[in-house]
Formats: sequence, C-alpha cells, structure tokens
Amino acid sequence: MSVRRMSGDRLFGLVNGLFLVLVAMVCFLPIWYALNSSILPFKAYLKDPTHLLPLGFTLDSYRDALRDASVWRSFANGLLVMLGTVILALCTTITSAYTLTRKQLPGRRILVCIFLIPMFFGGGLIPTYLVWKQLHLLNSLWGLMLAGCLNGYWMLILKATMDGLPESLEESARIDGAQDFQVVWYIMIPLCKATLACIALMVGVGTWNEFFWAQIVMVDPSKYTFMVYLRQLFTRISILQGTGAASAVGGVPTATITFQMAIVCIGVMPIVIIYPLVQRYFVKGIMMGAIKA
Amino acid sequence: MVLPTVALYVILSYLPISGVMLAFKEFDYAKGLWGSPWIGTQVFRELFGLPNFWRAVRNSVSISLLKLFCGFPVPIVMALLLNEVRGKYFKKTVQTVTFLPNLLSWAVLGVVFTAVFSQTQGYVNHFIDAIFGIRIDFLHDSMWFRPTLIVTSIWAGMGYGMVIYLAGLTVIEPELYEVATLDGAGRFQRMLHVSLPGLMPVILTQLILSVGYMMYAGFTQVYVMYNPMVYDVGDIIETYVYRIGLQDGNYSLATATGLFQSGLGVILMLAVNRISKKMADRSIF
Repeated sequence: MSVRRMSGDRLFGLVNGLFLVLVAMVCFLPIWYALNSSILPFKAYLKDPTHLLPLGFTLDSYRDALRDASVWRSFANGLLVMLGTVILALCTTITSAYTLTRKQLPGRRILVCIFLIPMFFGGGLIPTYLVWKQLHLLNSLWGLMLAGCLNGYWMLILKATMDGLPESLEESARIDGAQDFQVVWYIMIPLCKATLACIALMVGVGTWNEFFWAQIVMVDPSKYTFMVYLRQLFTRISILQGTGAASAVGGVPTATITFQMAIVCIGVMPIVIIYPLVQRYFVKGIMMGAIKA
Repeated sequence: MVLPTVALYVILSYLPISGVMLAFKEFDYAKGLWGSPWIGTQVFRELFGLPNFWRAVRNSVSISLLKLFCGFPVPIVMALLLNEVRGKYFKKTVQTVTFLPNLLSWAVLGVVFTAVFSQTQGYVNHFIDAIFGIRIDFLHDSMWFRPTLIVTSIWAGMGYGMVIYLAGLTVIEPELYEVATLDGAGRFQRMLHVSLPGLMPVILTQLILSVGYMMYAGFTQVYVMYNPMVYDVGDIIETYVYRIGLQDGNYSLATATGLFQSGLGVILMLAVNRISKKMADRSIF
C-alpha cells in the first residue's frame, strides 16, 4: 500500500511540475512575443507570421524608435514624474503614519477618517478635473506628481510597521531631548527602511505605468510622459492601419509591429531591469497588505 | 508636521468630492462649478432614462462577475500547486515569470495584446487557423471581447494573488500535514484537505474585497482594449463617464454616473463587510 501511495505522489508531482511549466510558458509568451518582435530583422519578420521564432537579431527597430526625440523627452518626463511622486509619497506617508502613532494626539480618529475615506470614495473624473483646472494644475508635470502622492493604503501599512517598533527606542530618544522631526529622521526612517523601500517601489512602478490621468491633464506634447506618448503613437498607428495608409509589409516603418514592440520594450525596460533585483520587496509589499487586511 | 499632508488631502481629495454636487446641477460652462444652477434630481432622472447608461452598468457588473468566477480561483489553484513543488529555484522562477505581467502598464499591454490577438498578424489566430481553419477577431467581435478581456486580466493579475496565497500557505501549521500523512493522505489529498481549508481566511478576505469592488471592472484595461464595435459588451461605467464627460462635455451626467458608481460601491463594500463579519467573523476594518 505504501508503494502505491508513493507512486501516486510521484505521479502527482510530475503532472504538477509539467502543468506549472506549461502555465509559466504560456504566461511568458506575450512577453517573449514583444521581445522577439522588437529584435527581428525585417526579412525574418515577413517569413514567420507568428513572430515567435528567434530568427535573427537586429537593433534596427530600436534605432528607428530612438531617432524620435519625443521618445527621449517623454522617457525623461516619465522618470521625473516618477521620482517626484515617490519622494512626495514617502513624505506624506511618513508624516501621516508617524502622526497616527502618537496615541495622545487629540483628534486622531478624525485624522484617520480623513485619510481613509478617499480610499473608497472619490469625486470622480469630472469634478477632479474641474478642481485641477481651477488650481492651475493642468498641463504641468509638477501637478502630475501630486496626483499619485496621496496613498492611504500605504500609510496604514507604514503605521502598522511603526507600531511594531519598541516604544523604548523613542522614549530614550525623547529623554535625550529629541523633537518629533528628529525622532522620525533618526529612528523611524532607518528602522522602517524595508517598508519604505516597498512603498517607494510600488508607487514608483504605479506612477511609471500611469497613463490615463497623465493623458487627460497634459495638453502640451512636450510634457507627455512615456506611457502617454506610447498611447498617442499607438492610436495614431491604429488609425493609419485602419485607413490602409500604411501596411505592415514594407510600409511606413512606424506601422510595423517590430517598431511598436521596440517602443514597448523601451517602456518596459526600467521595470524589467530593476525587477529581479528588488523582487523580494514587491513580494513583501503585497504580503504586508494582505496580512494587514 | 502632518499639516501639509492633511492640506493636500483636503485639496486633492475632498475638494473634488464636493464637486459631486455637479450631479445635481445643470452645468453652465460660463458659470463654472459653483455658479451653475441647482436642478436637484433631474440629472439622475435623465441619466436613468438613457439606455447606454444601463448598458454600461450591466457591462460593469457582468464583467466583474465573470472576472470573479473565472479569475478568482486561478491564483488560489496556482498557489496550491506551486506550494507542492520541491525545487526552490523552480518555485522562484515560476513566481517571477507569473508576477512580471503585474508590473506592466496596460498602455503597454494594450499594444501587445492588440498585436497578439490580431486577426491577421497575431500568433493566437495563427495557431487557431492551423488547427481549426478559422480566424477570430478577438478584439472587435462582441462575442469574443469579454472572454479576451477576462483571460488577459487573469494573465496580468495571477502573480499578485499567488504571492498572497503562497504567503498564507506558509502559516499553516506543519503538524496538520504530518497528521494527514499519518492518516494515509497523499499529496493531492493533503493539498485538498489541509492546505485549502488553511487558506480559507485569506481567501475570504480577498473575496470580500473583490465583491466590494464589483462596480469597478478594470478601467485602464478596458480603455486600452475596447473600441466602438464592442461597446455593447465592453462599455463599462468608467469608460461611459469618460466619453460623455470629457469627450461630449456632458459634465453633469458624467458626474452623476460617477456618483452612482462610487455610492453603490461604498454601499456594496459595507454590506459585504457586514455579512462577512456576521458569518465568518472577518472584517476589513
């Protein structure tokens, strides 16, 4: 009986492993498609309609893509907005999380409510747009940084982390004469580094990927972030293809899939590069969220 | 010290909330938000008379429910299966590969999937053509648009759920597995009778959140993938708001729609939370 049980287990392990490999491959396929299409030389691109076979390597598409100054500019814009948003987000989460740990603070409950309500209820697209218009935040990269900096969710997680730190640390600092700011700067921040890294990464990735609101508020094409530029380019290409003005075969280079995928890969590159290095922070961030909930 | 943050919150989050009164006003561009005349519930009455509005609501809820039924179990199953794997590097690789799509913007994914599912150039249709001899216009055919939406959404979100459930699996006491083995349970049975029940608290919490957000069917994804040909099945509340609001300039209607959505969303969230508190003593507050 034990032999039968063991071989049943072995069979399960084998089938399971194969299944998981299959799933992983199917999962990776679209990414592989984008990567491979971007490096296919034109002849190979025509030969294999699936664009899945690694029939060649060329950086021509990337060269074409990078020839466009807008690509560089929007990339820089995207990085700028991402950096600014992350810094602002860290400031807001640290200050609000620390404030909420002060148990003696009068009106603490009100503060919690203030921070929590926007997580579930918002003004909506139009009211927010009108408010931004009145505040002259439209068409401004600095304004865009404000869009992503308020984050009640991460503030709660940071607060939980801070609550987990021993009180004696802060007490001894206060005895030594430290004010609020010094406590935060010299004690809280160094001890919460892991959580802060998670927040920075999650907010950073989210901001880099954000395109909808950025597209709405930006009127000036020179201020587009990368994803907005990508969207604009792609919708233009779709229209061209729709009207038959450019075909994928020997037509205007901007219409080929290799060109599109090159731009896609450029856009994805920042994330893909840092991802393996900091994967554990993403995982930790998600886990903290789940455990807190 | 926290005052600047509070100020930011008030300005950026609460001011727009006050703007929802637009839903009760007849917007006059010249007079702006504060000057437009108040007309009470007339906007809502007009809104509820528009068939496209109800279509959008129907689509939002349908798509959310479909995503829930089809997509919710996937990360659970994947986590359970992956947990049974012995090799650490294999586990890590699968997790890395499945999680990567979650980090990609739908702006990017929209481009990729439009190419992948293209009727003429995508590899999906190439394989379907080779096997079945037909080609399907996934993104423009009303029959196929929603399944495509759901499959791609599962693809993108699977890794995220897997992380949560894998973490949940690590807190199950090892003694339970030992007892099960002594009772003669094989790996598959242990998975079914120890891992799965042990994961229930996490599953329930995630379920509450998913149901609570049912009014929101995934705007950015639909926005990049939809087109006028599939409005009948793909137009969700937020895309509807975007079109009638920012494109048609119908501010009052758009605001009313948004208010409808977030209002219902809050009610839904609170209701589901209360039910779960009563039934399983789990709450998100």
